[in-house]
Amino acid sequence: MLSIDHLRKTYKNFTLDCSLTVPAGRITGLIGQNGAGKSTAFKAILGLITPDSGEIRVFGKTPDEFTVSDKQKLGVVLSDSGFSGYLTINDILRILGSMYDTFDRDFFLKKVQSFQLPQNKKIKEFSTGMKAKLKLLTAVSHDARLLILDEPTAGLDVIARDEVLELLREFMEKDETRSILISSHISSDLETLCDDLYMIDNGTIILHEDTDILLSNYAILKTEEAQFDRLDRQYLLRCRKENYGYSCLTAEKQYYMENYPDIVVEKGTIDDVISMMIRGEKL
Amino acid sequence: MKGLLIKDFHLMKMQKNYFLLILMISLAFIFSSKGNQGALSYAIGFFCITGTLFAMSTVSYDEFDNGNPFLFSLPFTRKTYVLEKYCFGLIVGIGFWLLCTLLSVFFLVFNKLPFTGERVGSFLLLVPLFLVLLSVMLPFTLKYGGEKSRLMIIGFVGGILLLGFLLSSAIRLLNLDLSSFLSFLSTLDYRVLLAGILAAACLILLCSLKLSISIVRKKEF
Repeated sequence: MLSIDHLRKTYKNFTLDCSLTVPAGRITGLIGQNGAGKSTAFKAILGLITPDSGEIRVFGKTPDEFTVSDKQKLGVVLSDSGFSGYLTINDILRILGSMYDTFDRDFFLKKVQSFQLPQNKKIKEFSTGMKAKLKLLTAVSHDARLLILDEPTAGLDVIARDEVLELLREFMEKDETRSILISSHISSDLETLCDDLYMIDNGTIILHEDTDILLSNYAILKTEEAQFDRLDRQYLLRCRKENYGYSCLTAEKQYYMENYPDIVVEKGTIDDVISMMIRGEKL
Repeated sequence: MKGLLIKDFHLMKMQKNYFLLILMISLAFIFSSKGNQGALSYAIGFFCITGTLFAMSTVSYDEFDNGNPFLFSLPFTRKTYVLEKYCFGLIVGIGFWLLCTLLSVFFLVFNKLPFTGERVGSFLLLVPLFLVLLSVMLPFTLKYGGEKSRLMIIGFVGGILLLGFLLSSAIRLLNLDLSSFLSFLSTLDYRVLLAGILAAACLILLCSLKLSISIVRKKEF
């Protein structure tokens, strides 16, 4: 559905160099700190910026080969960009109806009502939650094959986030070949939604793993200095000096639990993994 | 393109109060003109230029709150975006010109003032002027955005005026005689002259369109 091979884009103080794949029928998450390169990667996929090198293929085509009908198969949410704030939902309804051959007006209006979005109010007067819901609704109302979602849950409260995630699940249930690439810095959103996760830091992908494996096999080992010295380090991904000794990230939780019963082994949350991958030292 | 036109008309709809104000001012010019051709042309030109500025303002509305990245992810090409801006500018500008011209004609006929071919020619002469204005403003607005482009356009117009001054000075210094060329122009039928000016303005508009397409194609959002 989507593949990026060594996409490179250099700015003054930042270089993006990433590769990732989103297969059909999967939800892939991109997680990283602010400024890690998520939005740059999304913009490159959408042809909004020109990469210095590398290849991007969406539906097997490069951004240059992309036609208007190919673009109709994409649903897009960008974190810091949307329809002009001077438009209303009624205006947007007419615009989307003219732009997308498969725009589902009834679905759109039904969801507008269920989200209690005002149809005649200017978008710039909407709350953050209302804007986020409208953005996502715009992306899922025209039978898209691939959703490119940059921080769709940013700034939302728990209830609104649940509604947004539910809308994404509904989108995926309609067809087995649909895919989503979603970025967020709220790991719990991605944990419950994504099939696999890419972690990006400073423009580079530092980890790619299936979410199930990440949650079941990854762990944080908490060791004292003496315990650390006799530890088999071949399965340690990162280590960090702590007050009590060392904390270490491993993708082989079971191995350490069986062979080092005296070591504290904590289930690795996605936040822990990110934190260790970014701040920890490679052995 | 239809979706983009709908968007721009909705965005322009918000400025309806300004539109009514400009229309009132133009009407005041027309009614106080006493049939003077200069005053009528000024009123139509004023209304037409304001229409062009309204059309340009949609570029600023697109940019508002970093709207361009999302807008350009919608299903249209960059070329279509530029074509739509020119079409929208032409629809609004010609529409404003037509409205004000019809009001002027109505005023002349109602007051039993002379309505000659030369008058029609003077009204029509405003169309190429509007086309040139659109041709100059759109590439600047698309390249530098709504705010910055104003300064660039002022700079550009200043440059053109300076070039004109230098050319006229050069003609004087070199003792070039342009009187035969000017007398040739005066012998031409005003319809031929008008058609020539209109054709030149269309050519400038096409060059401007080509330039704008290349500007937007290279733009990063």
